[in-house]
Amino acid sequence: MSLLFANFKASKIILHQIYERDSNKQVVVPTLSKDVITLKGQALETLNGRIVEAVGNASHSIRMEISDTGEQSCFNSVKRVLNDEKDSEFINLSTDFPIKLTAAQMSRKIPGGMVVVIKGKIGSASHPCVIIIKAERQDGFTSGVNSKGIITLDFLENLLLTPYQKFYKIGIFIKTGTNETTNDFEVYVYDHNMTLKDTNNAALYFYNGFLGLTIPVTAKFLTKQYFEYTRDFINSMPIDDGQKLDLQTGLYSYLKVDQTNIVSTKTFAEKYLEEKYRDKYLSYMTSMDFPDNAITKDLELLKNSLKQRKITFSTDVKVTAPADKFSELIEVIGTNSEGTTLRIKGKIRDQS
Amino acid sequence: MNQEEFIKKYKEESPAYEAWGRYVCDSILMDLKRELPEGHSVDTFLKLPVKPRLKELVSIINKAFNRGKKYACPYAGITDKVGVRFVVLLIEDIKTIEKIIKNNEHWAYSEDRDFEKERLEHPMLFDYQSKHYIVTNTTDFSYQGVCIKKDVNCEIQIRTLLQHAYSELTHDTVYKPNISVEPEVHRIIARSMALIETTDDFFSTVTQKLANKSGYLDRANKLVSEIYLKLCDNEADHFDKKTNLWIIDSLKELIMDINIDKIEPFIKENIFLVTKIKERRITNILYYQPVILLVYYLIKEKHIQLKKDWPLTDDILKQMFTDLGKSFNSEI
Repeated sequence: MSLLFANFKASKIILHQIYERDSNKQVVVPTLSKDVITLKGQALETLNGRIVEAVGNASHSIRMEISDTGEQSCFNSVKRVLNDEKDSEFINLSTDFPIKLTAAQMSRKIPGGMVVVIKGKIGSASHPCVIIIKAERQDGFTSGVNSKGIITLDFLENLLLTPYQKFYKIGIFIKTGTNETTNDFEVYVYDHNMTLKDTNNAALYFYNGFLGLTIPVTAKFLTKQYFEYTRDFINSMPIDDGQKLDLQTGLYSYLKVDQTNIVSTKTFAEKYLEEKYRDKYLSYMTSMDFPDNAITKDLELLKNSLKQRKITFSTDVKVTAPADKFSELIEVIGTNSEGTTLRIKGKIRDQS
Repeated sequence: MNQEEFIKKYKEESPAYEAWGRYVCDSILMDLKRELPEGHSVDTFLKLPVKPRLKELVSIINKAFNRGKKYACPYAGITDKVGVRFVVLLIEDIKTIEKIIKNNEHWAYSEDRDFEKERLEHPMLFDYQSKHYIVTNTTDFSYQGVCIKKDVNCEIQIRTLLQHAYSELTHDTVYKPNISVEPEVHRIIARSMALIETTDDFFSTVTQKLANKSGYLDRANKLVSEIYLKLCDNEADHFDKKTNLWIIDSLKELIMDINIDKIEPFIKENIFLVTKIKERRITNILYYQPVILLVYYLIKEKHIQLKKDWPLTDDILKQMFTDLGKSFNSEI
């Protein structure tokens, strides 16, 4: 596991308010703050915790590529914030983000909220970073005991950054290199909407329109690697053949049937593997240099592998079957020293 | 040397042999006390009381003159005039005593040739891995008021409890020079020997497995204490041995599964953790405990299982997850 999101320390924090478009679909000017926020102790720990909970979430934060590098790009604004060594311009520079985000929110369906801009350091090597959070407001209650010993309940309508992660999106730019090219940065996005196929469009305005990022071109290679490494891991597990077949079916379903738009080692481990094998699987994938965080699912290079599934026996006998019905068609009855008993649905139609 | 001269000399020298036997016995017991790990006593290590035994006159005369053994010089040739026997539980325990014998500078030691010869002559009787040593005095000295001359020797036998049981049986019932034993009895005895050797092996395996586990956990505990002391300058009065041991015990399955030698390089690579620990320990005494380093390492290596086995409340662990940039409550 890489410790990219370890040791997070915020040095400057500011909040700006943005609004949804008005009834004429026109931009409503954001309310820009003139002061940084000072958080200490418990509050600062909680903010750190919320951010890490989201971006450090191996199954939901996705590495992205910077595509917009123009003068007006978010990337450019990030670089300006990082270059402002004495933070004298931080307040001013941070206003780029709410203005850009407001412009990117083209539809009235997209709600307003707060834009939190944080400058800080992250990773064991303390890389400089800029974090931009869009946090939607939530309602909630606060309870207490008043002076007469009565328990009270008060309504709060401006809650931000609660543990409920559906209400915020995060972009994090980490400067890992020494220059200023896109290769000197690692960028991750956490957005609940990115993980599901049918809500991916809802995420587009944030990661693409606002942050100027795209899904990495490497996604299809990574998805293929993911499939191959996981398949090899399952084959090497100390379990019986029937269980292996079930897990391979699980891998197939996870890639082909599951309606998520991302692939993550952690999700597969938690959904399909017995508890005692989870950590082992994760260390195996890490040892193969597969990313710990989620990747975008792209099945282009796996079309054939996912169409037919094949079992090869020690005697070179091979059985193939359509992958989507594999477990219906083939059942492993048992294995002993002499051989394997399979039950195959269907009769012999052709022989060669 | 004829029989009469032999008896005279033996009677004269008996006290010296007895004293040498006591000396050998006492020094080995003393060394053993020092050699055994903490919490183990010599009395439980040795399965039978140890007592040097001088060979009876009749039996030594028999051995020297009547058993067809052609000693060049029977008096010097018989090396077990006095003998000591150590009976222990495990094969490894035999090695502990062998080591003590070999390290003692007050005598010269050799494996007992005479015993080896008998083993060849009576394979049935000695076909177990018992160890016989002869230790010989190298300088004249006096012990408990008795003068012991150079070259006085003593035989030491070391056996496991099972080997001892076997040899008791064969000595008393099978080995009677003038009675022939039926082949079937030999066969049964051979079978029981095989069983004993196998059982001795099993005993050793069981003990090793148990020792490996607790040994590894002890080492983990010691190791993190050393690292903590070195990197986080501990204030000793905040150290709580019980908490450390309790957490280590709760996480034992996980610890057995990692390479603890990687903890120190991991902490050094992420030296910011030391700063975190120093900050937090002001308000949370847990961060004064060296085991905290182990927990950080487990978050890196085994975070899924760690969440299950963690014995304290989640908020403490969650904070440590955050330090390492890991999400604690990841939903599927």
